[in-house]
Amino acid sequence: MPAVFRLAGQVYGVLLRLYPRPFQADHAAQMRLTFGDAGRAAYQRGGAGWLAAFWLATVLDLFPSALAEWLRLGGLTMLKSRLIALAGPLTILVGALWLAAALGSRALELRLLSDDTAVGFVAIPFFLSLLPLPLAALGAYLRFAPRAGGLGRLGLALSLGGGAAVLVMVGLSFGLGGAAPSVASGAWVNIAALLCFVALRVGYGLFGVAALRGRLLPRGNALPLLLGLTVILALPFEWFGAPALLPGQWSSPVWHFALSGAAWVLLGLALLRPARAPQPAAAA
Amino acid sequence: MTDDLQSLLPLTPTVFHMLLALADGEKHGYGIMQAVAAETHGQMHIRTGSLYGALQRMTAAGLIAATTERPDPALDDERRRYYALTHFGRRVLAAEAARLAQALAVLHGKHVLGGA
Repeated sequence: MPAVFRLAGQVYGVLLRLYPRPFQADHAAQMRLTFGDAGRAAYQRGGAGWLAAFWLATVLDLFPSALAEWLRLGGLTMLKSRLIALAGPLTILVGALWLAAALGSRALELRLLSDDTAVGFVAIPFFLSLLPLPLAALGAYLRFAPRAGGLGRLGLALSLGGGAAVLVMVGLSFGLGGAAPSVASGAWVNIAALLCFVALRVGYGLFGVAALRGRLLPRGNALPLLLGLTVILALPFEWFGAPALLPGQWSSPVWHFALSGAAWVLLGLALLRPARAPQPAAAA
Repeated sequence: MTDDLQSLLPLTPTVFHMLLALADGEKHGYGIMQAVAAETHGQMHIRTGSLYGALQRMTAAGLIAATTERPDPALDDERRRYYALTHFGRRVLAAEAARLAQALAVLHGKHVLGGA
């Protein structure tokens, strides 16, 4: 568990960058200490379930709290700039967590770890990745929507809505798990989560088409489309199983996590670059 | 900082319970969080973001201040920042408590709390 606590602390540290800089300077170090203490207490009290619920509640509290600090400073424009600047690092963070989930998934296949431990190494990075995901999508939306055209804006909105809805779904599922377990374990949860993920990936795909047509990204304009396609291509394998001509491992979550994670990391690296300068009009 | 005590009333439940948590001595952020949960019998859990947002606002309003006094070195973690009630914060807490006591007296007078 120490590695998981360390990973969660690092993710939380990145999310704290959503606060205005003066607030970060005053409180971020103390907030990380408190987050660590409260997380360990939740784990000692109720195990992994309590810990996951604590993390989720803490992060869901972080977003309105950060927004309130920006509003207090009267800095919505600054907040927009911060979200745009963070889109790259947050996208890389999502990809890195998916790559970690791929490693955990591979360890599970190879039986290098006990099932319980290995599942933790898959599930925890995966669920943690859902936290920065909507913010990364929001940053991309704010940066590219004004010049993405109708198709690109639809794609960006779908990826943002899908990312936010996945997080809400997980929150609902955890909440209902305590209050109404039979509702939380119903098939609707899986169907709704699947729809959210499809919206997210289709969104990246559509934005990718617009990015290729309009050369919106500073580089790597094919990456959003690749990100959309990694799971769309994997869906038939999920539904119908791998075709006999493919080795079984191609349908495993290892590849799903690894390819998507790599695509996210590459897209994040592309987003780190500043926007292209407007092209001067051609000389007559 | 305003000295207009009445303008701060009524306090929000979060601020009231945080001031109450500090009434018996300085605490760090996690200590305040634990005290509030214990003193409300688990009915109020302040999350980390809300806690430090409130600490920021309460410090700006002069209700609390970061303190350099440290507890027993055996119990201390030198990385932590401790907060204490200011004199003004204690007056505001007392005024809020008086307001709540007055409301409680009205409730008793109307037998709203009577042995249901």
